[in-house]
Amino acid sequence: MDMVEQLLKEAQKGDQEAFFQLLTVHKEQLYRVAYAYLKNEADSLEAIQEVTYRAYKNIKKVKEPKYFSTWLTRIMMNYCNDEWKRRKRLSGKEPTELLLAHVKENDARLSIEAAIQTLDPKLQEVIVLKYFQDMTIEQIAYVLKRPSGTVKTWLNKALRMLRKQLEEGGEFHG
Amino acid sequence: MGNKEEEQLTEAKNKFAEIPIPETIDNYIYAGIQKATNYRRKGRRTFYSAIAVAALLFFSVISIRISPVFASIVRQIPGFERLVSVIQGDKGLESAVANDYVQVVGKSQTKQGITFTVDEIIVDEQRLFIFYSITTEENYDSIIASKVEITNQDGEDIVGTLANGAHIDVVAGETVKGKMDVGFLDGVDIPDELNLNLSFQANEIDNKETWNIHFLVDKEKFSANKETFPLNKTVTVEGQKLTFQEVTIYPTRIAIHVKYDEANTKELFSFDDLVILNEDGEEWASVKNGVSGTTINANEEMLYLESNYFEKPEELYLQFSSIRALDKDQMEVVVDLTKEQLIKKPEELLSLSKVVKEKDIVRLTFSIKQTNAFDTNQFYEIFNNRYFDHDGNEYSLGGSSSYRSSELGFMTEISVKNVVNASPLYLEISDFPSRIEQKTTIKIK
Repeated sequence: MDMVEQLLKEAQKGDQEAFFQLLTVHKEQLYRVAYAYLKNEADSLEAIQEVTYRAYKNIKKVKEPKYFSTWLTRIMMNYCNDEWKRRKRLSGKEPTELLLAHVKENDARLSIEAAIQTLDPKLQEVIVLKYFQDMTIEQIAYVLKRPSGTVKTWLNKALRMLRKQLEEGGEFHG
Repeated sequence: MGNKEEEQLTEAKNKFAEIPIPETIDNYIYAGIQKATNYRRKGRRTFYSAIAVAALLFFSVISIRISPVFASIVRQIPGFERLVSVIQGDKGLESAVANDYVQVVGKSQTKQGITFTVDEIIVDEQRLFIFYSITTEENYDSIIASKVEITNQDGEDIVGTLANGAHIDVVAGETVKGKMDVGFLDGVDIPDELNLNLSFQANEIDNKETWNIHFLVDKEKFSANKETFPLNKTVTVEGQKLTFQEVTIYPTRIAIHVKYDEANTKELFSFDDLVILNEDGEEWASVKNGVSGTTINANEEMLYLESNYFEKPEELYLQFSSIRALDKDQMEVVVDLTKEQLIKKPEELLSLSKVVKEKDIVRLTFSIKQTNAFDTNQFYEIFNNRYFDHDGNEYSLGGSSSYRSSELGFMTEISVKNVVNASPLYLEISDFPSRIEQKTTIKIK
């Protein structure tokens, strides 16, 4: 039994220290996902707090230890998506615009990150999971609860769109 | 596809891997757990007792930190793998175990389907750690060792302070592990024998049976001694005087004896950044999650840092730059329960943001403005446990929990008895985000 599996077992029995350690093992990965979406430290830390809370409440639902890490990432992504919607409500702008505006302040050139953010949220997730989290198609399929075939299609679509965005990048400065 | 966009994705990924992780991140994990346990507590309608459990877990949870190096050292010592999960994160305990400063006991007793085993102990002149495991024949929502009595060979009580946590959702036949952290009564020597009597509170019901474990202490094993450095150094920070009496280094922790001048106009709560540095200015000992300590009297306390006993630097320096403190005449918060407002409060940093009245209790939520960078790194209790009503009757808080949100800042919720007729209530501040600051360095050796 590896460490995560052991800790998960203990955490599911209600051992808070084990749960804390589990989160500690995954904190860097989670934080980076949050940061990739939310773009600032304070919001990303709050995301960590909220995701810890959600994971703690639902820890018993994890059946497969090998998918624990993807399960956590899923919670984080859901949180970030919710956060986007909330920002949109507050600002009346599309979240992608919001994030793009932020990117532009720092970097006049349209970056790959900015291009990713112009994608449909589902496609963004596939890209983040595949390229930033190094997940396999099967793992992504598990996280997104879709067949692998669908994931492959999305991935291809996402890459095609990214290429297009990067080629036409100039438009996004407007 | 392997072309331009994939290349750029790889680049982006490298950038992604370089996103720095803030040091404070563990505090947010902790806060998430606390929020969740708060949630569970309400779900179970076991408000009062569960809060006590949560408070205990608070202390055990925050001290855990993964250290792969340490884990690998311990795995090389046969029989100690199981200790890793219980002590990981405490530098003092880690180095104690790595230096074979552990006695294996392995004695157990079974009564009423509950087997209690003392697996190992660590002891020095200050402190005793009992690493135990519990195996049960039934499932329990919660189980905690209660009525713990520890005596030495002469039948004398040795317990000054005791901390042990509850185990939640215990499954029949599966072993759970924990530790008891015992601080000795003043003047107690390392015992030759230990006699442990305890009972259990399972599902919040006291068991009437007593479990007893008796064993000899291998004093050879624990012959490492303490080192004491008398200081007697008085420093003044923003007009407040404090005296560092002495520093004592034990294998399991470092004790700093500090006195505050009675004439100080401020109450000093806690050091934000107390560290001990070696001759190269490197951190030799520190506290990552708030200073722990014991109060000797109103103006005197012992502060404890994780020990680094087995490493011996040439020189040592004590250093700090910021202390949380509040004017002594600002220490009271007066709440009018009828009008649901504050009659008296310290500074502008604290406000009453929510009042929820239930049948017997009132939940008060306070918003506390924290502007100092240290505060994103720390959690502390704003209120003392005791409070008074209009007629001077003393009560204890039903519970308190804290969390942080980006919109509202630091929130602390406490519950008090619904004593509307006895309103206003008098609460006492126990810690507060106002500070005195000055970088101070004191030579220890």
